[in-house]
Amino acid sequence: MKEATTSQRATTFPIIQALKFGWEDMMARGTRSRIIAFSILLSVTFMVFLSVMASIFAAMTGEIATVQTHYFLMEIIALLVCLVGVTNTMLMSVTERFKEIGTMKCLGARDTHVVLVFLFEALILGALGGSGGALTGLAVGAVVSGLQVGWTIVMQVPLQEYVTHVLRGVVTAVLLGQLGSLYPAYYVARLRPVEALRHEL
Amino acid sequence: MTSIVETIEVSKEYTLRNERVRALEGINLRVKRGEYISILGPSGSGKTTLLNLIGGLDLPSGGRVLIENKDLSRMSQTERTSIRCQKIGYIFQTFNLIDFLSALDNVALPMIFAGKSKKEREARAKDLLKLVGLSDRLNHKPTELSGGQQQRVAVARALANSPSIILADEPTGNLDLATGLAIVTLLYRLKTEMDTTVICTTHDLKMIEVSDRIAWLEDGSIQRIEDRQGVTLTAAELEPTDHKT
Repeated sequence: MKEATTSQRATTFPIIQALKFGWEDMMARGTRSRIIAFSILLSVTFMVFLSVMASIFAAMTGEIATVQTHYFLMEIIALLVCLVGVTNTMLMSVTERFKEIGTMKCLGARDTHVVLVFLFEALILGALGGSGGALTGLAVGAVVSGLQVGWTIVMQVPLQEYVTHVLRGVVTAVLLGQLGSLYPAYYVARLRPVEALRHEL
Repeated sequence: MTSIVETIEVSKEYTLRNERVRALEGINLRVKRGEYISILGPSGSGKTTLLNLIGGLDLPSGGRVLIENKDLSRMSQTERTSIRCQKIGYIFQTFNLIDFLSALDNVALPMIFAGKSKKEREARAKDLLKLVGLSDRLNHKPTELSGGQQQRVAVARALANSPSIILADEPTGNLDLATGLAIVTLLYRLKTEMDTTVICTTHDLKMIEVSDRIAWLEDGSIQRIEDRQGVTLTAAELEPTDHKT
């Protein structure tokens, strides 16, 4: 046994390769990727929209704590719904790719390499969906509030607060993508190569 | 000649709908270095299961599989992955190329896992694709290639890390007669020129022509192992069964 340990070097998969692989895989499955990115975008839009509305409402009424608690609960519900959606779509996505993963494992990919590919893919989707969602949420929140309560109140909220909402949206989206992919990635990475190769859709 | 692959009393059982199914039983096989051995048998005889066990893609329920005298069951998962990457090349009936990678990238993939540099990978992948007659298809995706060309890419990929063993699971199963023959001839050429051991499962009887030995598998047991010379049938006589997959 010692012989095997010393003579066989553990296989590698550089991060840049995993990132490239995740990107190309994502591009090859355009529709599925767009669905994931879009569901992240929608929930982050909703989340940032609520945050912006809360800030504007607080600037108008001065009831910061009550308003923020209400909006925060709604945000949590929206994010939970999105998390279930992302996990479900990622599970379908890994099921489609069983054979590809089986082949990769057959050629030398370890479990961690497979997990890396999925997490990178989710990172890209989370960042794209999150950025789009955060900016949309900010724009919609500002326009809706501006039309309802007037632009003066919208302008009363410090710019820094809006930037914080956008950044929080992007970070949440990335985390959402990672959380949603964790279980599907772990599930598929743990498959024995023969199980993955045997799988037919 | 030393044995490079050895199976000792190997058995494999599956549980299928709460029922135990014995896929292999008492498999004893010694494959010598540089040998071309075909495992013949009807569908469901356990050929692929045996190949999966030899390749470390699955573990036996009983017995031992030795690769260069090392027991695969006693290795860690990382060690088995490493053996798969560096010592074994796989060729599948359904080619199993990664569809979004070009022919060149497909061939280079095992070399990424083996830790080769980009320059090394590209040079070797180009050489291998040239060897299998696809130097003009480097940047084509699998979907832009014919079945025979895809299988050639798979052969090139199997050779990427200069493995000592090639495991081919019905490599001609999805190909027409002429293309199948070309792949078989290519495998034989590689075996002779590179001193690679080839273990090939098939129920395509023309494989006999290029084999050193033939193991006949039926109902999960090896019925007999014969030398090529001992088999009286020729591929020409057996042509009518070629279409059987």
